[in-house]
Amino acid sequence: MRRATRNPFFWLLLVALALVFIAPIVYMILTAFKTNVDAQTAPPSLLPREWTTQAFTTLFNDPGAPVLSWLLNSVLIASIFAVVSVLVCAMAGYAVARMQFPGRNAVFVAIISTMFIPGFVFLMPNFELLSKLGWLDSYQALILPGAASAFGLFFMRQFFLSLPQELEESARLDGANPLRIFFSIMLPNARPAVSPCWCCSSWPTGTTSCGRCTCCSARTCSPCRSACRACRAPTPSTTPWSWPAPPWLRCRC
Amino acid sequence: MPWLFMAPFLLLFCSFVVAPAVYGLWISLHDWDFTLERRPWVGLQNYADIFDPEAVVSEPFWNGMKNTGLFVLMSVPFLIALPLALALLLNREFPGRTFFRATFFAPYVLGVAVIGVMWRYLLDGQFGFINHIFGTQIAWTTSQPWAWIGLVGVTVWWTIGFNAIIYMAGLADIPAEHYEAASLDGASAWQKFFYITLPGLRPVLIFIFITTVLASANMFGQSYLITNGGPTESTRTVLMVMTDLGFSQSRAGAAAAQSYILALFLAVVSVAQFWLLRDRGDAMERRAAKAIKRENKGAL
Repeated sequence: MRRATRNPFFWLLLVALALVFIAPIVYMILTAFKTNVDAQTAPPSLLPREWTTQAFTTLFNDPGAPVLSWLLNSVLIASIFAVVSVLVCAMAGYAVARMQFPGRNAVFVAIISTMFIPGFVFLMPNFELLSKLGWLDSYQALILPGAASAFGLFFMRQFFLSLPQELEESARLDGANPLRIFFSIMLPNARPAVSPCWCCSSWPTGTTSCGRCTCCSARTCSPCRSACRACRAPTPSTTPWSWPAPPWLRCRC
Repeated sequence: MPWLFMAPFLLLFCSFVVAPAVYGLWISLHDWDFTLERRPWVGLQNYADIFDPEAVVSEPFWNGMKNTGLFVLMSVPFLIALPLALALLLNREFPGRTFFRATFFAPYVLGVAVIGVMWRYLLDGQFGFINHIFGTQIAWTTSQPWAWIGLVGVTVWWTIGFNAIIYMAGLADIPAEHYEAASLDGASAWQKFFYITLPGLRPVLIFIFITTVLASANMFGQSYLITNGGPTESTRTVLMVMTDLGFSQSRAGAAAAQSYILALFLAVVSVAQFWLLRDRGDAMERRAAKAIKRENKGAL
């Protein structure tokens, strides 16, 4: 293992790869400081020919687009969502992976089979459900519907399956109850799995969540917002469906 | 006790996934237009239309299915193999490992809308940076096969970090003693990979294989934003066809029926994948154990 760090080819490969992943993002950041004309001139230049912060002033001075409060919404919702989702999925994933109970496999297969249904089928029924619950314009409408995901459960189950049995057996012999085993042994041991689940659940949710509720002041600054002009328009709160192009359709990612 | 662990999940899952899925089936049996009060029952007509070459909805749907299938075939091998290679690379110990891990994961943090707008710009035929770097003049968004190459490339660039992190979580669980024991027995690096790493990663591999196929089959944003389905509808995925039908043309019933047909396809593919990756070693051990038992009986 130590050898790797001395090998120049290893470092060359690593840095070249890192460049591939970082360069496009850096280029886009630099482009943010270009003028409109400069950004669309051939041949493109890496550095702005003329540095300007025009794009940012426009962005932050648009009264129809309170970007900062959207950003706050995103951070808030993403954080709460991540905690709720990881907890709910990990508990269920643990039960499915490690506990014996009648109907376990049937429940698991039933849950997994919903993954085949394209997500957009759920949009319309969920919208109606949320509006019946009176949850439009609310944070919980952005958090709860996606929290229990088949994907999350599948992910956590596969992970718990790969942890050694002895871990919990010794705890059980010591007389710990299942809740305690889960929270003080299994969940901490699942850290490698929890962190990616956490990362992947938080930001992309920002994007799906703007899809979940159209007429919503609880908007998130999922960056797609800036890509989607329709969202900027004042949203009619009564008849979302009669909209020519539903904004959440464009935002849905 | 198991049900206590399942309860929060099941409660949320039934309300926001199962119920809507059933409601979606109900919608698919109607001529469902959001904008109209009247949503007449049409029975299985929406499903029949899909398989009726005369029907207007049939041709775009199957064209979309073909394009989606192509994208799955082209993207999945890269999305499975490259992240594994990356995970093995990053699994070594070296200074700055966390930094590099974060670097490869960075694109995944961005939503598909950002990725789409960004790459539409970078791949532009006139002032795109990609053509500039390579000194080419390729119309990435309006000619084939470049459009597919671009879409697959962008997808790999975007999601490689996610699969890599899942692989790394799986690698972290393979006990180091297995490798040490193998080294003592004089196993080569390849042998370690095939006899320790791959089998140890199997649950993770099943997960990645299935979810990656599903994710690719649900590709929408990249085509929508980068090529807009072109050139000549060749990158219009089935999800684009459905959303267009369901929302732009307000034919939710027909779109829902199409989604369930797609779901059926994906279910069949996933079951095949489970079957392909099933634990053959386990089955072999069981068979061997049985044979031994039989022999022992004979000896007695």
